[in-house]
Amino acid sequence: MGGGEPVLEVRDLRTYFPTMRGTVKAVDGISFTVLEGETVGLVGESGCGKSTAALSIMRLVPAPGRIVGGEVLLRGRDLLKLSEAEMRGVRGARIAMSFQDPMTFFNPVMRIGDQIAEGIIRHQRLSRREAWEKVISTLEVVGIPSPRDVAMSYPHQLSGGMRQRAMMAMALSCHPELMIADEPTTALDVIIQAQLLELMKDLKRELGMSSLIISHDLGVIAELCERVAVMYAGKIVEYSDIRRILREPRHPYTVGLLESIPRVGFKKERLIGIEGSVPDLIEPPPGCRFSPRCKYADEKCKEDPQLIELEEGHYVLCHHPVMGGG
Amino acid sequence: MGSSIERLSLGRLERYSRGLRGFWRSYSRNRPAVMGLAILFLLTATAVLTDLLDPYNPFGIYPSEVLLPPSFSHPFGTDDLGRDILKLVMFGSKTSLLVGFSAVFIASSIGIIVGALSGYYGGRVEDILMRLTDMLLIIPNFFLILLIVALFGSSLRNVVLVIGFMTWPGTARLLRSTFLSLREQEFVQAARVVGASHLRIIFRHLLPNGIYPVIVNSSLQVGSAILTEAGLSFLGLGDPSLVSWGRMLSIAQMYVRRAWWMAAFPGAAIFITVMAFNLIGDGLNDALNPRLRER
Amino acid sequence: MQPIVKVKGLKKYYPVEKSWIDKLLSRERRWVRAVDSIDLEIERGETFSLVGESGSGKTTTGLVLMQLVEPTEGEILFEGRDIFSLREEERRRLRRDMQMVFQNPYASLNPRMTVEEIVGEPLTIHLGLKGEERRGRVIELLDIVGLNPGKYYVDRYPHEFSGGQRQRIAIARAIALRPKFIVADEPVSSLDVSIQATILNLLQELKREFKLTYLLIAHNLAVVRYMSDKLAIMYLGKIMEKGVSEDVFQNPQHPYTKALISAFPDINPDVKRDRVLLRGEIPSPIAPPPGCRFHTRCPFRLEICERDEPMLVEVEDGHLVACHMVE
Repeated sequence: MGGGEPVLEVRDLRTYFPTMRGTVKAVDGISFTVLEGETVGLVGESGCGKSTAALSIMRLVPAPGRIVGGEVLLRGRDLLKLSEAEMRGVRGARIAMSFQDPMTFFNPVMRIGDQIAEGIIRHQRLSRREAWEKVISTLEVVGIPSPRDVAMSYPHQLSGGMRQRAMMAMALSCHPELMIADEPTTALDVIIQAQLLELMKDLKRELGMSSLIISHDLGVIAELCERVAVMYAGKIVEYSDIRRILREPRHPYTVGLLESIPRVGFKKERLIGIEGSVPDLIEPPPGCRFSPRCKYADEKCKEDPQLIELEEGHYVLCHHPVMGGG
Repeated sequence: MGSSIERLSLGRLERYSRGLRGFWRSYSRNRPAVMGLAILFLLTATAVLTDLLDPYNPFGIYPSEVLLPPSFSHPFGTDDLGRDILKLVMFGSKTSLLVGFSAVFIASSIGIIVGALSGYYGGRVEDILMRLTDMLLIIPNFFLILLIVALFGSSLRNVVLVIGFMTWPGTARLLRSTFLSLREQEFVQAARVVGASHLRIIFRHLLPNGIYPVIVNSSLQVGSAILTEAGLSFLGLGDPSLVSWGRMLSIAQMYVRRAWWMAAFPGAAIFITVMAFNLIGDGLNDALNPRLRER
Repeated sequence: MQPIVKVKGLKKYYPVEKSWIDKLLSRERRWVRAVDSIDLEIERGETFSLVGESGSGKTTTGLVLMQLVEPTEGEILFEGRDIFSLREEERRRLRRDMQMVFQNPYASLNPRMTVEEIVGEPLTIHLGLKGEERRGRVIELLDIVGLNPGKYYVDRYPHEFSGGQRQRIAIARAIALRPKFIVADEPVSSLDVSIQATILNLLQELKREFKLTYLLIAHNLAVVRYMSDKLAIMYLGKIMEKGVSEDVFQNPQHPYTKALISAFPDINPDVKRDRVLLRGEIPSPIAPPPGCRFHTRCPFRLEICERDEPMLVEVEDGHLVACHMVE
């Protein structure tokens, strides 16, 4: 388990999108750390800003979005201060990213093997033949049974699970220091998802890689991550190690989320759910952004809450943290 | 997003006018399109006013005023028979708009029916209708129109009918492909589940969602119908009892060295009118396209 | 008591488009066997779930039940009457009793209709309601599905609502005619987790209040366990296991069911899971494997599995399994 040097430190990151109606504060001052060999999860529902956060780390925020503040330190160096050329040397080589839909990630008219080899050639200065050898061995690492055939295929010829594996192979091929996986299993059926989760656990054990997993599915996060940051409306509302969050959630949103999830292991008598919907990020509610949906909200919640450390390594952004578990 | 929850309920009419205002807001952002619309208003006003205020016969002959260059009393000059070209151009606008709108009305009606039926029912209906459409599409349109007008006479009615009946395939294809994708949408399935009839599905569910590209296309087609009419008249196949920009051009050919104004003004009128409809089509496309509209 | 819905030997094959090579060689037309001979009985007042991965045929079964797709073979009896032998008029009449909630509330509501028109459409079609009367009923229905006060919502268009609210509108449309039976095809899978729970609870409440029977089509086993009384697990167009929901979850018999349950990521960090990991992916339904369709991925495959197709046999009261291992 982690405990090493920080590989990635995100400090007070802010990414805004100007629109006709006003500014959408998609990511509004988030901070977290990924330590050497550690897997951190970023969990939240649609529109909470988790994917924008990941893209901000890669400096790939789509226009008109802009990173307006904060720091993204990769081993102490602020990526936001690098030139675009320097950043290209980071992407793919030092930080790799995989996406929910490999179909939009791969070039549809290029063989899988060529696409993976391209990155290897660029970042590691290997010859074409050496690069292809590496492609085959990496495809083997991600559990693809006939790597040569897959390397010779075009993206549409592969199934969803295979494409996801190929994309992970591409991410791994340059031995990145950090891997970011955005919804790695969301588009897949449950059996294929399980295969992939097991693969990711194996890879983590064998390669000792540091990774950041973005997902809406707490189940997936619970299987892969040591620590987790729960995001709501552009902010991290709770941040701790995964067991503590699952056993003793302190933020009312986390509590509500956990009470909403039906369980396959036993029959829950009743799910609670959270009434209402995610706030408008152009005019967010004053103070705590969860307060309009929160049953504990009072006058005090109209003021901005501060991130407080309830116990060591357990942070909550709330005026009235829930005590005694969910 | 959920910002709309506490707004008060609105009356139907008010919502409708809000929709219109929203449309205008995004349409007016496209300056050239607004200009196109202004030109169309001007043309329509000209066509109507010429008829009301100046029912004076444009076909009179004024031997003393033959081929005068543009001047204060004849801003566009006069033609070989001494007629005022400004007046003729104004009369011509009526012909052009009449032909343009009527022909496109016919073409759009046929196109919508054919496209809707083949897109919704598919199967044999689609096979037959689409073969017919393809046949019309591969025949060089203008020459067929030319042939038919030459055979059946070149009254205004014939010209309108021929252009209308020859130019619907584009609309049909457009609506068919829209219907093909709409037909598979869940809301259409949902309509079937609640027991909606075929007609109801076509008119209440599919058409309101698929009509906008057709409207845009029709606006462009008005321009091309006007151009076709001008072409026919230029070749001497227009209605001889009406003033037409095309025919004015045709006559101007003979005097092009001596009286440039005879060609220049009707030519400019055609150009500006066709361009206006293209600009309008472009603006409609931006304003009616829901993806662009939010911006 | 007679089951409200009975499905007998239902098959649905879709033709595969012939390529020009096939035509040239005059090859036989091939078929996607989406649903391949299944039987179901759904009792009045229960929630019956069809579970499976994509390509299992669960959605096609729902579409056939809702008469959106004609079956290739087999019968569907609704309250004892074969719905595909009915005349057009009677079939339409049947829509009052059988309704559907679709997967994607962003696609299932006509974007150019107001909520009044959407929810009121069945009322107009079947009861001829118009004007104030229809509007009043729609407002009532909106209140019932938790969009209250309904009069604030009735004139709006779908794009003004969040996903959860849209699904409530779709549910209001489904219950507008007081049906007896509702097919819910993945009703929450496109919604956020916290919203899913509220929609599932709404469905439960409506079931109690209006004495509804549900056919729930879902891939999320946790949702299925929360909602169902009975379930059937489908794989490549066949039923692998069916029975009372809790029996199946507590005592799964088919290797595929076990694999599905163990594959599901759970939020309990203390569970040390022994996954039944399956190799490979679901085979093509155009040429399903001979014998047991699951044998190509089954960790316990016997020789007989490649030859003979196992029948559904009863292992305990009402709990049926199609597997040679349990015979």
